[in-house]
Amino acid sequence: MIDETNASAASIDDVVRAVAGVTSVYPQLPEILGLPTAVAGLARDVAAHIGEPTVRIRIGIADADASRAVCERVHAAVLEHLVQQAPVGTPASALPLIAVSVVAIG
Amino acid sequence: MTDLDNERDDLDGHTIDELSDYLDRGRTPLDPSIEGSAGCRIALGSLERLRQISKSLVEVDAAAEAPRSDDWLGGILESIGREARAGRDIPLLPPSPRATLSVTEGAVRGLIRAAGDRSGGLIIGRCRLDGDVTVPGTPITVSIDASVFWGERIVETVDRARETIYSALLKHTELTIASIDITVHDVYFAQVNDQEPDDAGDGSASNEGDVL
Repeated sequence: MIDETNASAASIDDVVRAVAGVTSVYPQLPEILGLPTAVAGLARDVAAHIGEPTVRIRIGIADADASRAVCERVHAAVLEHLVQQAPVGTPASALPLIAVSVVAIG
Repeated sequence: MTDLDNERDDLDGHTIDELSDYLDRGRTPLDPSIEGSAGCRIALGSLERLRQISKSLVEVDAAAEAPRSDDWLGGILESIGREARAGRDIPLLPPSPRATLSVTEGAVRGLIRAAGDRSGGLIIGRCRLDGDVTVPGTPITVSIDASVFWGERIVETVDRARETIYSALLKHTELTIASIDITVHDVYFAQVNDQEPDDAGDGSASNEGDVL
């Protein structure tokens, strides 16, 4: 099962940045709070055990494209990335949920 | 909790004053804690637009020797700080059951502010989304306070802003917009006209206090 770890988050950030229409990829709450990496990882582990593992992506987008179009492109790119990272034969239901949130426009 | 604490929460630990100083320094040295914060980026964008407009206001005010309350600018700055926070998640139709797509309320308020300011002739003061934006199909009322610049026809200016804001909302959200209510609280000098103020046109503007 792929989880929301620091290692995968970094590579997912790169994938998201490469999507057309994305201007910024914003860090999650642990980074915003300036928590040490170990503590941020622990916070994510706790969150993953409370709910279903989720890759959460917060992006800023240009005003040119509709939010939904950019979100769908991000979702498709991240899903493809997760499938590539997962062991062969991993069912889609075993992949984490993908949550894409537009937090700034323009 | 004090107002300053609230403001710090809204702007990921920063205040509007700090962001204003950061702009004064030309955003150098680059501050990752500001540039990495969506709330701060929205507030910075609003501050930059407000600075351009207020520079015009100060120049014309000086020329006209018209008294102007600093509360006006303070109120807008306060709104920028408060409304930049993420707020509620506004859902978009997901492409699969294992995905959620959303736009934050803060992003939408920033969008409304930018669209309103861009439409020309007014500046957005406060902006509020009334209704449960988290439930698709719920009728939402957008309530906006604005100031119109001297010489602008209020009704036409407001209609233009309403259309621009509605287009922006239609493009970036799937909200069911019941209405966009714009209340003009103030009229201020902002543009240098060759005409005397008495010849401004419809006579609908006064120095302060006009309300639609």
